[in-house]
Amino acid sequence: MKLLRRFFRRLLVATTGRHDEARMREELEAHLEMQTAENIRAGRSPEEARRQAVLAFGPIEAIKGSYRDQQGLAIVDDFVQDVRYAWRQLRKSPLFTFTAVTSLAMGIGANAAVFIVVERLLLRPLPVSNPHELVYVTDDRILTQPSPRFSYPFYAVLRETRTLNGLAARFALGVNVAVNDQIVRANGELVSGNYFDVIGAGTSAGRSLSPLDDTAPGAHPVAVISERFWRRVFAADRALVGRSVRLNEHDFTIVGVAAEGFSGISAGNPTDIWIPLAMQRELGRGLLTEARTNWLEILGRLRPGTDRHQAADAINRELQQRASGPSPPSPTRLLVLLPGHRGSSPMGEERRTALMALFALAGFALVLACVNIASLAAVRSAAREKEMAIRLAIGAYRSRLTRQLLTEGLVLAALGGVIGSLIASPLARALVSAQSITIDLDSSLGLPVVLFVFLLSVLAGIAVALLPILSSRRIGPLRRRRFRRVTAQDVVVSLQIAMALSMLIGASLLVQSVRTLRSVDPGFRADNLLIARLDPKAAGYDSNRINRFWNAVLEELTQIPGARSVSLAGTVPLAPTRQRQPWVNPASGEKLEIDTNYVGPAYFQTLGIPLVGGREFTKDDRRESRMVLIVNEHLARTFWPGQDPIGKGIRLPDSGKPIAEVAGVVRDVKYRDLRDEAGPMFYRPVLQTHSSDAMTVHLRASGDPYALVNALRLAIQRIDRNVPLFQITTLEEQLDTSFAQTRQAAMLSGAFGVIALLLSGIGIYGVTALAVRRRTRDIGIRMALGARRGDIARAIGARGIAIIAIGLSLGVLGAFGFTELTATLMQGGKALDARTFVSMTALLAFVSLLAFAIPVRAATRLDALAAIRHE
Amino acid sequence: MRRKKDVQQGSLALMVLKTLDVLGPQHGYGLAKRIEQISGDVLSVNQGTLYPLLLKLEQDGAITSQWGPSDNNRRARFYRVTAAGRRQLQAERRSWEETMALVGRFFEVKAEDVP
Repeated sequence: MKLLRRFFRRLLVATTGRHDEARMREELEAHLEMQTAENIRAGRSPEEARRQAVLAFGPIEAIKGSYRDQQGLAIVDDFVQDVRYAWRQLRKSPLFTFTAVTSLAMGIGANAAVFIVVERLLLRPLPVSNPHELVYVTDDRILTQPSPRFSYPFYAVLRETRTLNGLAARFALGVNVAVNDQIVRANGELVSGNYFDVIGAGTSAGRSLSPLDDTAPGAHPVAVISERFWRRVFAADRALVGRSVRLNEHDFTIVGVAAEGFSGISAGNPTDIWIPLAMQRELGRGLLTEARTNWLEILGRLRPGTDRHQAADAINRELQQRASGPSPPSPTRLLVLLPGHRGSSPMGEERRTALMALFALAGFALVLACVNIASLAAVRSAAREKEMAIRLAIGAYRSRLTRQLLTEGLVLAALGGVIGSLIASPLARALVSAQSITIDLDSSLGLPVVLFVFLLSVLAGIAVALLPILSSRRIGPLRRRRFRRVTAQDVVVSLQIAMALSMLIGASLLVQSVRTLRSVDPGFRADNLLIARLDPKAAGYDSNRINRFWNAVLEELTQIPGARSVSLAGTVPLAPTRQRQPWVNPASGEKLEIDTNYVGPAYFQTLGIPLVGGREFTKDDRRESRMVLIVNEHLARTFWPGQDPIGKGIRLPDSGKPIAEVAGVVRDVKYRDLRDEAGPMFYRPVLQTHSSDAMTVHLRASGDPYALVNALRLAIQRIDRNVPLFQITTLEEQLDTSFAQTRQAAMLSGAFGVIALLLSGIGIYGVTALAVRRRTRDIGIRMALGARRGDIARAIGARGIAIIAIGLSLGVLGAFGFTELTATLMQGGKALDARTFVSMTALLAFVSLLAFAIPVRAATRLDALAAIRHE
Repeated sequence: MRRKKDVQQGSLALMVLKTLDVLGPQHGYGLAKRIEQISGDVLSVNQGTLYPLLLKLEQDGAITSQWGPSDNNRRARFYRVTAAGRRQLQAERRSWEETMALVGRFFEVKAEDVP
């Protein structure tokens, strides 16, 4: 109780800084005066009286100090004092401070950025009630496919099972929303009526969707929008709920706004608008009765307290019993329930490991930054030995010095942490943009990120201060420094060289892999090619009108001045989405999923893909004319080995299985990944399909492709203002994003590598210069006794050479580990290029030897007499 | 030369409390003098060390202080023991007496007393 009261009273003083100095001074002065007066009465002279009074009083400054300590909380006061002192010290050496803060900020920022992405995409559970009860329903196809989907009839059967507490289905699609005469492209989601109930998401206004909205096809044109979308597009209009909004070509009533923070189950890909599955036809799909089209993702909610494996077994048993039902699920399928509390993240396994590798890289960079600063600080603290010794001599406690050094480290780390967290958000956005998927990530700092940065900064601060503290322990006011075989500083400098070398080798390997990748021939010409996506289905085009539309588009775009060649395609090379169709190999009868691209006339000419034989598609390849297709060389080899494929017939994977004739063969193109070999590929004419799905227009410009954007917009508007044009970019940029991740990793490790290179130079210089200074007298004596310069250099140099040699060899070893770490980031394969190893080792050896040679040379030029007298 | 004994903080606090209790409100200088007198110069105190101690006792609530005129009409800080201070003094005194009695018995013990 008493302690508590004292504590609070002191805390008040310590925090408000309201030390009652006046009271102390007046009281002490009064005391001295009374004593002096008494001494005078006792017959002393005034001066002597005062002197005696002061003597009797005791060490006045120390008493004042303990009086002040008594007033405030000593530890808080000391801390404040330490911080002030540290700040002054750091301001005195701005270069050191700048270097340290910058590298810490980079290290902490990079880690925080990766952490933001990891936390958002991989760790954070969905903002719904009891997210851990959610399961993601898939089946044994998960072994071979990233996320197998299901047909609506299958979902209808599955929904009748009683094991789970509800099963919801979803399908993501782009939707055009008409807002004040403008068309906004939104991320839509067709969902079953029980979606919100099953997921456990509420609304912030209006109501959510209910099973009643999802009964009869086309009967309930209602939609719920996300809070984000409501703010972004509708300016948080309170009167929106209940109003009608045009989606694609149909009017829907907005019945609610989803709860804040809930934006669907796909963390990186937020949903803007939810529409009942029963309205799928109005949004251009016709899949409710299609038993063979697998398009739906299914999520379920476990009954409280049940286990997902048991639940999966129970569902499979139930399905088995129903297998005689109207639309039996395929008996070979075994449902698998995966944890669904994080929803379905668009991060594939490959990206996940890439992200983890990036995390490891950032962690390595931060450790390196700490090592760098520690070694710099150690050099600096060596220069401050005298200051420390004086402070010890005038009575500072050793623990106080330690605290002082620790505070300096923490102040540096705090500065680094603040700047680091400032750059973390933009860095995270850059990271995400390199993931080559459309992720609309909320990259603001949250509490976990702030905690992470705080923790990291504290650790970094301690790490930075550790070495100076260790070396300060050996300082004494009267103690001479003993000669030690190996000091902590030697170890750190070795470590620094090693890490710098691994980082440099790793970085140059990454840079090389980007360069190799750039030089890979993708099979098409990416330069000057503008691409943009058009979605006629969203504007209400159906199978009957679509060809007229595409013809008009081709017609109009060809008129654009500066457009040398124009075409259409369903998929773009190296874009994340591909289309595959089930084809039957005529040679073996085997059924294969093969990449299939719907392309317009003059596609191969526009992309610069060489025709090997036959002809290109033309405007005359229409539905009425003979079905044709074009294959690539790989496919020709697989399907018709040793034969001329031109003129061969093959069954199309469409309903009715019509036969199409191979009209041409083209050179292989890398659609998937520049690293891989191009796979087999079918090209089918756009104008022979009945689909009105979105297509990408390709325009080859004679100059800057972006100069054509306006003309392109105007041309499309002339045809139909309701068809939205989106994802406008160039093929070159598309190509760039496909290795942006490797480039980022290369930049990150390169930047840290170069900083490490410079700093390890400084480290070696510092260690050696210090050794020379300490041994100046020793050197002088040796010289006086006739040692030659070479002897001196050897005597001092042996140590430095050993440090460098150990560092370099550890570095080479580390580089192997480092490349292992970043292997997933390296496209173009993991290349342990010997030349890189040798040249980087040579570079680092050169820099370290240079840094080492300067003080050694200075030592050999010492004047023997002056050196002996040196103290 | 007779060496003066160092005064331990704890016993100094007790002396302060006792002095204030017996003599009533005192300023710092007065207290220092009284303690010197009572201890008969056996105990040497750096007079100044009294002040941090007074502050501590005040924070503990054992004494209170206020400004008042000193004998030579200077402003001085006068300290007075509080009820809590008296209770503390009594408690300390009891424990002191018990300790003394205990230690005393040990000094009284002679070898033949131990069975």
